[in-house]
Amino acid sequence: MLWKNTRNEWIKITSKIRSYLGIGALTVLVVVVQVALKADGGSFISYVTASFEQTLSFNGKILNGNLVAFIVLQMLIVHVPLLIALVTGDLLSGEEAAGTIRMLATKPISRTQIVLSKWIAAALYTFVMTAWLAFLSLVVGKFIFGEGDLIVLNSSGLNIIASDDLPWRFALSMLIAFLALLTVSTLSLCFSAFAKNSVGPIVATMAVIILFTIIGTLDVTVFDAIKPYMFTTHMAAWRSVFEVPLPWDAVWESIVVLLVHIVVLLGITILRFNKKDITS
Amino acid sequence: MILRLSLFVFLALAHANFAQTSEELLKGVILKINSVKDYKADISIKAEIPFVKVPIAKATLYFKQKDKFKVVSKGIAILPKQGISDLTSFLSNESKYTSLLGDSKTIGDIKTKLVTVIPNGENNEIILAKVYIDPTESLIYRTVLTTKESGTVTVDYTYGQNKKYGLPNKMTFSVDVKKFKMPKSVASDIRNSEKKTKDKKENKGVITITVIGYEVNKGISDDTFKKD
Amino acid sequence: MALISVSNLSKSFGNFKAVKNVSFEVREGDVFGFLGPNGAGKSTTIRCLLSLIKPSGGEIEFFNQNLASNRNAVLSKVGCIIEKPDFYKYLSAYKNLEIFGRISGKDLSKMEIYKFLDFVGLTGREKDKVSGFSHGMKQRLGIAQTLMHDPDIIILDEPTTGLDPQGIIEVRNLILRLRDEQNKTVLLSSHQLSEIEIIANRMVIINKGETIVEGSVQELLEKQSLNLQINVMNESIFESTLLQSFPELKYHKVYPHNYHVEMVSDTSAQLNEKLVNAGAGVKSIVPKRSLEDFFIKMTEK
Repeated sequence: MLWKNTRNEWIKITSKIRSYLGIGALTVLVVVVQVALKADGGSFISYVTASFEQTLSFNGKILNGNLVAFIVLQMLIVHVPLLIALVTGDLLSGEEAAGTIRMLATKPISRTQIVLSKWIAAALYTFVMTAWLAFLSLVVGKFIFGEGDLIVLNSSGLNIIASDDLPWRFALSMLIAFLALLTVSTLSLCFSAFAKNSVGPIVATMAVIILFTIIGTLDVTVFDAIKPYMFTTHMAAWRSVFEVPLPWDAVWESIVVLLVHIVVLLGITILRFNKKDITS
Repeated sequence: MILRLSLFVFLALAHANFAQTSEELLKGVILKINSVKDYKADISIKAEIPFVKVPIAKATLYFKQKDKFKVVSKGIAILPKQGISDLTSFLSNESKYTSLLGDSKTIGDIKTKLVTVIPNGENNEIILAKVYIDPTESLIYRTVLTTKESGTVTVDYTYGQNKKYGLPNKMTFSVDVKKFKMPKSVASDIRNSEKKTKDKKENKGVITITVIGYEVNKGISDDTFKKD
Repeated sequence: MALISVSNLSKSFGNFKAVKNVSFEVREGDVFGFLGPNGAGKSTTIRCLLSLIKPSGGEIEFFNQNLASNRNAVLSKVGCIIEKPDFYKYLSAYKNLEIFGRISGKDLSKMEIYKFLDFVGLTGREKDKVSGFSHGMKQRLGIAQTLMHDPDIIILDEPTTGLDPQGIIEVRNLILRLRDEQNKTVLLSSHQLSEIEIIANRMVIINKGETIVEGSVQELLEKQSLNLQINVMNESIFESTLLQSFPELKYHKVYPHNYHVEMVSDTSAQLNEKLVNAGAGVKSIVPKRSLEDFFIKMTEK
């Protein structure tokens, strides 16, 4: 029954206009960034290499598809969670508001299976968004800007990564980005279990992300103890894949923290939905 | 008698060598430089710069008299801004500088003479150049360039089979990184803060260019040097 | 055999006890009326039956199986409409049935879904989005959704709300068909007491969260006193005759020339004779043993 309802949930997601609004918005955002870089990518490059250009000269194709893909991923780290939450935050509370939760909860399918099937469908949608983002930034980006080594500015300095060393790095970074976005969709689903309307969970999800992000960037010792455990701290873990050498310990730590968040949030959602009296 | 004559000739020659002026030393070098109408060199570049991680890059250098120079690399290659081709084109124009003979210095196994080159005008990028020349073969084994923008660049040269053209098979650039300020990330790195960026006070970056092969005086079209 | 057995059911929302002590049985083949005034706890009880709400106490059994521990098995044999049926407005009628059918415990083919849409009179509207459906059409789609997995028990909570008289008749006939032709057991909660009186064979009345009375509709109505609706030409003769000859009878004027008389035993023939002889001008005498009266009497206590 779990997979039957997962199929149902997928049909519902793909039948709603807002699901395509999210994908459309993502497409427009990426295209805008790519057009801007095509028009004036040189200025951006200069900004990155400015500190080095007094003594060094950078030869080769710096503005290439790999760099553009990296920049696109950077810029959308805040926007994509919102587009995901727009769809996943509606999954439970939207049905409560529409009254269909009554019909659904009287079927021979457990409440746990209802939540799990919605979560799987949300994960699938998140994967589609991530894959689409990867396609637009990498495939389309390479088509427009061509191949080349990747130049990356990190907290540890400037890294140049050879182009043949990039495919597995991008694959791993997209996997971690998917995990980060899945955490967001699980969070919004969790809020959805507590709300009776669509807007609340979406706003709450974004509020949490923004608040945690601010806390994460504040240089205040009071917050130092909790920062390593906040999921927003690890949402940018995908960038670590482009450090040389790759900090495997930090990457694994981020993966574990995100997975723990997903499991705990999903557990809370299941618990809440199982206990809930459906009176609407 | 013959012994005295030989000794006299030897001493005369020796005196002649070690009595070369700075201009004569530079002329010898320039002669060699000018014997190369053009060349193409396949190179590998190894850059060891503080806070910069870059794999060994492969590139091709193109040069054509008098001052056409281009680097073509498949990937991203970091090269020193000064010191590859600008010195030789600077030295070619004798009217633009004054040279002074300095002390001898042994670099590796080679005994070299220091020639200090001071530009005549004030508008040159090179403020001062110290050139260590092997007087017997008219080869430069070290240069220390002081430039307006790039600070001090020291270049060591090693020669192989293209010695006759004055073309080195290895150049080691020591770049002054005092002026570097480590930039903050382009987008905020949320995980940051443990790796704080610092200004390094006394740091050198080293770029080693190893020449894999030369093609000298084979003819290179001017189109090669057009900007992409 | 009792298909539904509710024993000492209770449900509290915080300090408020919506259901205190409700017990009843629904037997196989019943059209069971579930009655109570507003706020009696009917909706709460029905939602407990359908596991939408967790009871605070008591037991619910379907087919002799405890609901809590056999929920999925039980609900695969139950169809229901609770208040108004809500569907996914952005999906078509067909797609809605397909989605609910998929998780109802029985795999339905495309032809079978079309058959049910035809059964409820929605042929030609299969591909239309539910957002464009009228209330009556949604109700019919709700009935299709209820029946399509061939349940043994059908629970209907206010199924005729918002329907026009034609729609009400259609629902009534459908329920009767389900009982007579398909041997379905129906639990029906409704405020349309006249409908319950016509189609239900057994019923329970609850009030303030407690069971008041349960039993066969006919037997319960027969137990209550016979009431007469009398229409006379002369009001003063009527009133004086009753006072003199039948002082034990209670009556009240419903509207001019029209009286409601409560009778303990059936003395309607004697009353008629007296009134006619007295010259009251009896225009009509209509005996009434109505569910409405019974209901009001039970819930006023």
